[in-house]
Amino acid sequence: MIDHTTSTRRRFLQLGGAGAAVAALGLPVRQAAAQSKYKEAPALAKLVADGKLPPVEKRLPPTPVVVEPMTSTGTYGGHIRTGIIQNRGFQARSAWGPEPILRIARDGGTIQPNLAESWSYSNNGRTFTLVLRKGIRWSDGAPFDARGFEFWWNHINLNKQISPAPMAQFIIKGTVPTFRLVDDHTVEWTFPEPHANLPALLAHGVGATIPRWLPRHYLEQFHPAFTDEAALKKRVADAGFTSWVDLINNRTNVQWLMPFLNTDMPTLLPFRLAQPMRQNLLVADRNPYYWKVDPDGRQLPYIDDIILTNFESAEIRDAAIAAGELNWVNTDTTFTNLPLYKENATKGHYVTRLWKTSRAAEHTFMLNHTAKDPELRKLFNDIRFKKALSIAIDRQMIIDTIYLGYGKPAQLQMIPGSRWRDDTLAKQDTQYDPKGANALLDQIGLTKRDSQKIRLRPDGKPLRLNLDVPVDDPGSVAVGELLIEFLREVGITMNVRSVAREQVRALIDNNDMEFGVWIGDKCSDTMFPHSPEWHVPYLTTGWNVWGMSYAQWYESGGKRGEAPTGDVKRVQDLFDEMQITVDEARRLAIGKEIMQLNARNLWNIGDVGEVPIPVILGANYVNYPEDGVTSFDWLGNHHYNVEQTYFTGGAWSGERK
Amino acid sequence: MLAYLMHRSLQMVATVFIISVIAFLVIQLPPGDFVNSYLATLSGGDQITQDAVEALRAQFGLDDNLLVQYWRWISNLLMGNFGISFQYQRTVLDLLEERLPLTLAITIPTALFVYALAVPIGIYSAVRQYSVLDYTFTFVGFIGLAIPNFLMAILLIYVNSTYFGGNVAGLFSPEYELAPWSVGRVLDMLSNLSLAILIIGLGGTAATMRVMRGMLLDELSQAYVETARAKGLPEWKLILKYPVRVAISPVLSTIGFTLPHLVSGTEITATVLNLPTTGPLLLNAVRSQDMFLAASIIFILSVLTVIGTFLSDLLLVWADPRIRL
Repeated sequence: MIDHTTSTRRRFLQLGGAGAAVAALGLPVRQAAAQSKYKEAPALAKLVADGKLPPVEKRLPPTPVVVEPMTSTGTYGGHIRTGIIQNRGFQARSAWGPEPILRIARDGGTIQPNLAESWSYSNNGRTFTLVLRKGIRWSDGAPFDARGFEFWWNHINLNKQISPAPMAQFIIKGTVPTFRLVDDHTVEWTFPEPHANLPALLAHGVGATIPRWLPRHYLEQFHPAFTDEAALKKRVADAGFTSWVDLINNRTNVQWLMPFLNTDMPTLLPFRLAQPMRQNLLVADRNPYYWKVDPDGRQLPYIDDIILTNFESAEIRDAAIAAGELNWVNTDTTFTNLPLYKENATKGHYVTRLWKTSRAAEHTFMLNHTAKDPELRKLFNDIRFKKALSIAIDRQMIIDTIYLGYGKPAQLQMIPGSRWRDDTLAKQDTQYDPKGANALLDQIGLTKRDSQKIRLRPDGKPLRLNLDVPVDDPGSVAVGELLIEFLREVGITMNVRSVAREQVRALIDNNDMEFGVWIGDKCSDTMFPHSPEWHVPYLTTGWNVWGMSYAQWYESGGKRGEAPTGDVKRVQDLFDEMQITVDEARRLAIGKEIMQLNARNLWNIGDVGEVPIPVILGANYVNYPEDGVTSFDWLGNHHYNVEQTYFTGGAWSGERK
Repeated sequence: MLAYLMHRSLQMVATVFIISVIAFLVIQLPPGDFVNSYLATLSGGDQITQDAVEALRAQFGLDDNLLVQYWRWISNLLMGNFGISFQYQRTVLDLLEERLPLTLAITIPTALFVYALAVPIGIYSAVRQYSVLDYTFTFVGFIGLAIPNFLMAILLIYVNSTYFGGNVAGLFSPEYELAPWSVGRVLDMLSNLSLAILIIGLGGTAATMRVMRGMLLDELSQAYVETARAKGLPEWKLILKYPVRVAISPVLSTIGFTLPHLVSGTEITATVLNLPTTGPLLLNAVRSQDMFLAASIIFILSVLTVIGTFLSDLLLVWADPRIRL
């Protein structure tokens, strides 16, 4: 499914090459050459007939993007019914797009044009030029062009009031790049060194976040640089706010580009906000100005609208799935509820597919290498201790009891199919060997035990590990509880404390967490080169427990945190190099070395890999893969183009009359 | 009476002030602040530098000392400005306007349901002590008391969706979510609300019923009841006129707690039933340290408690003039 080798090769040929567009052969999206007549959904045709909407030719770009359907061209109609938990909009992001500046192709790796039709490097790679597609319109009919980028860069990103600091992913070698509006469809940035990861970032979270600030024609009314001060003050006060920043944040409130509050906020997504999130319900209907068509010239999307319910808890969302109220859930489903999903599938008119994720291991267990307790710190930096912990885990039991037999023992390396994957390293130290673990712990000198057979630390206290588990991941709690049993076998006692996500943040930030666990995601080729959260401590807003102090040091240029040495310093240096290295062979070598250093130091202790995720889709929902991938790495699964999916017959079979 | 009212009003203002301070402080107690929670909601792709984090703190005013933060909040509050919710990027007022009407639509009928059901049953059980119906009400009452509301909610959701094909949670069934208002849609909403009212009301009914029964049993054995009976008053008139008036005092004094309960007494049940009321809003606000939202809701609740207590005191004075002395 994921063809990383060719994808990355193509990307880097592109990077180093002359800089032509990647509108390449064999990719599902191509430019329409000679379409003369376009068709549209019946509801829109009626609006056109009533004179309330311009005809479809006027709404589409001169050459709209043609999306090849996955299996067949579709029928207009139907509702996508999906749900999110506690207002976390990301859980439904691939239901409505998103539409990043560039995008990831259906193969899961290649970077394709999207809002921008091409990109190129010049000036020894230091200047990055983006050429936007011509003729795209916002959902309110206004043209989309490069002046929006000028607004975002100069008046939002560099405005200290609304952006405390410029977007970090644009900063290379600590320097904010210079921005230039070349013409109405071209922008460029000049960096001190080539920003090698920029296309990947523009096809990912960064590229999906920026468009919030691009509808300049709408946003200027809320910005002091473009509006009369008195009028703006009045607007702010009328809305109940005290500053223009609060007002513009409120008016542009989006969750992965879908406006959640304001129906006037223009969008480029296949769907636009029709009914804001009120009383736990949001409706997004078709965007009449959407800029993509199928091969027959019919304007997409096929599906009429998205009905999004906000659930106050995951349990009640799962109950709603089982009751047949939802037909599209593929983020944060609960693996342990797989039997429940399957049991009710026929009655609920849905299918349960098992997709792959970007988790090299379901969980990474991380010992804080800069723990405040000096005894623990010494142990946590001793490779023998980490190895003992790793081989004390009976991974097969985790697979059998928690993951219903799905999965394989694995360390947190990379997922299968990755160009940086080494099967040997992925399995290293995963064999269950309590005897060997005991021998290693004895070898360290932890030979004295108390009456309960718990090993004593050199200072005479029993060896106790306190594991903090984020409360919203039931899997972590379950594995954590098994871990207690495994570690008791080797003479270590363990506490599992379930902590709210917000408190986890505070504990990590203050270096107060000793032993942490997180979902082992982001281990795919789309993510690792720019966001190696677990393998390199660099991200202070991440969940890397083992090296957060090192990340703080890295991020603050040595002002905070703790200076890394040896292998930790080495992986940070390698990451620095990765960010400015265009050469493909060198990038491969950099990644391989980071992986080897990780295996050697066991900074992350993985549990089991290749556990699938249940995906709930309507029984007659077409053009979505049987065997797909979903994870943050692909912004959910936006690369399957939700706009070309449809229900056979134009409505979900489970729709209640 | 006037002096009593004045005295009580002054007490109320002082109480509300103290509560507002406590409410504000309690929210700050857990480690970290809203910026921590905000960072906790970011996915791994977002990258925020330490400078930006500090600037965010400054923007939200979180690095000022607590006294300054409290003053900013309370002075705005008194002018009707509840501040904005960090989490939702909306004004607190806007959020309350969205959720309060539905909350009251559930809780006011619930309160009425509780009193309308519990007081007559309590009286009946006391007068016909140890009858078959008394045993039945006692049995059902204890079940209602012993099972937490949220557990009851889970049970009823299961029964409702498995055997009656009802929807799992929320205000409307899927077929009515997008429909324009119609008789069918109103009935659909009422059927979903009635489930909520039943669940939330059950516990309260049981408790009030037991209190009413116990108090009335005490009174029924009093000499004045015998005297009235000897004078030949009709039995039901006698009971309602004398012992019930005395026995109802404790029930009246709990009305004070009903008012705040109307706004948020049902956090967990509403979460389970997925009802967009103020309960889950408060729960989320406290958890993510969305301090203006949480503090404002708690403040409103405490004001309601104080007003409720005041009202129930007045009712008590009216029902039992001895209290004024």
